[in-house]
Amino acid sequence: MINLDQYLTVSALTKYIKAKLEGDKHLFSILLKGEISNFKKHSRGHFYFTLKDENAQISAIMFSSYTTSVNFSPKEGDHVLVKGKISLYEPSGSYSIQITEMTLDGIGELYLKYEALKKELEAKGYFDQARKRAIPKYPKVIGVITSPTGAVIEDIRNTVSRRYLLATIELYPALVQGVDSSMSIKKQIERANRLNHADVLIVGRGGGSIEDLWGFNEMPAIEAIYQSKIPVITAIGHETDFTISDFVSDLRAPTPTAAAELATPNQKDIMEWILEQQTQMTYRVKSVLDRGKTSLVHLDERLDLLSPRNKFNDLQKRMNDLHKNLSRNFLSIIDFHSYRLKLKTDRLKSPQDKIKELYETQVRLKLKLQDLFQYTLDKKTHQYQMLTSSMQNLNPLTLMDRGYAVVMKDEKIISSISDVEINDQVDIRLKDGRLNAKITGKKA
Amino acid sequence: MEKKTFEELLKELEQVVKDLENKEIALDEAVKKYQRGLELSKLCYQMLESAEKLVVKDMGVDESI
Repeated sequence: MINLDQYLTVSALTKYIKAKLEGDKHLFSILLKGEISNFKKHSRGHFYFTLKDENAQISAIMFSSYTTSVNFSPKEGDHVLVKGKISLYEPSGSYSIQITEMTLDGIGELYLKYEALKKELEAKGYFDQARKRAIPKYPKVIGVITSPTGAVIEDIRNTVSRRYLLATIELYPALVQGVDSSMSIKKQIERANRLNHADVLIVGRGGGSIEDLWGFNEMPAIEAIYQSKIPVITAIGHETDFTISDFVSDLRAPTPTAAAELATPNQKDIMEWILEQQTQMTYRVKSVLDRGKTSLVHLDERLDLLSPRNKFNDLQKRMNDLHKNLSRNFLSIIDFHSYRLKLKTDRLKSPQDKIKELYETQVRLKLKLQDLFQYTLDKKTHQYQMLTSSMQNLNPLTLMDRGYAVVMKDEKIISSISDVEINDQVDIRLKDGRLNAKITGKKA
Repeated sequence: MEKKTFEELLKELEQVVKDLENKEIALDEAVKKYQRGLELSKLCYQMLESAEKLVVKDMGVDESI
């Protein structure tokens, strides 16, 4: 006997299952990730699709009241993160997830794309160290490709202002976020290359999610950096973010400020360097001079050895003598010429003066002659008197007056007893006559 | 004013200093180089000192591309 009461209706079972599922607190609000397939957008705006992974799938519904909050266009193959609850639709007996929030599960997918592209470009040599160019040390123009409104351009402006005012910044405004960012960056890099003002380019963007930075992982931007003839510094995202653009660029900076520092020298350092060069140069020139001085001293010493000091002294002495002689000779030459001059001047005296002078000489000589004559006369007169007196005394007759006699024999004066013989006849002369006598004896 | 760029002037200064470091340099050459070096360093220093404000040019966007 069959008891029909023991059998449930399909509706009853389904109701029961629905109550069980929808009443479960774990299934009421769940977070789920999966890949979209069979995506359909209903005319009323609801989304119908299947979420799947390798081994399972589940139907998904997103009503139009929720779909407005979705910020991407879901399509086949998108990996998504959803929030929703499990519900059961009785007419079809199927359960599904009713989604209230949905976002792209970008990280996973983008990461895979990123890795694939990176690998491909690395293989093509886009990242070769050998093709990286040096960043110019003293740029005249720094081209900056970034958002005109963001903090990046401000940071770069402030940093360059602080470091190196000789540079000019050219801002090439670009979109740095969204679908068009990569193309916008490419256009401005290419434009900067065409204008060719800049010595270096900085491609920059502030921090953000991987999706925000995605433009820098897309080919337009990458290719433009790769092709740029002007060296490129990239400063994209935070210090920990590495975009493919960073691998392609000539230099990757962790932040825009760092990029500006890498692109510019510090002018305070340059000023210090310049002052240091001045010191260096002064030092070098001084040592060249010192070397010259030393060899000069050396040569001087050798010279001293070769040519003794006394020789020098001799020469000096000779020089002094010559100097003296020169003075003396000079003076005597002057004297000589003075004398000659005097002679000539004398000769030039007037005849009257000459006559006068001669006349005076004549008078003087006449007087002198008279004096001389008188003197001579006086002298001769005196002499005469003296002689007369002497002659008076010497006259033998005068002596005879005083009783002296002269004995003579044969008219010769006898002055010795030997002049006569005994019996000789002699004359004795007295003042008034003669006596004849005969010698009778001799006594000696 | 010299027509050379700041970088060229700095490079020349660097070369002058290098030349002066050569011990074989003749005295008159050294003095000549020294004078040039001082001139260059003064010029570079003045260029840095006289720069007062950073110029930022907005190049805009070329819509024709």
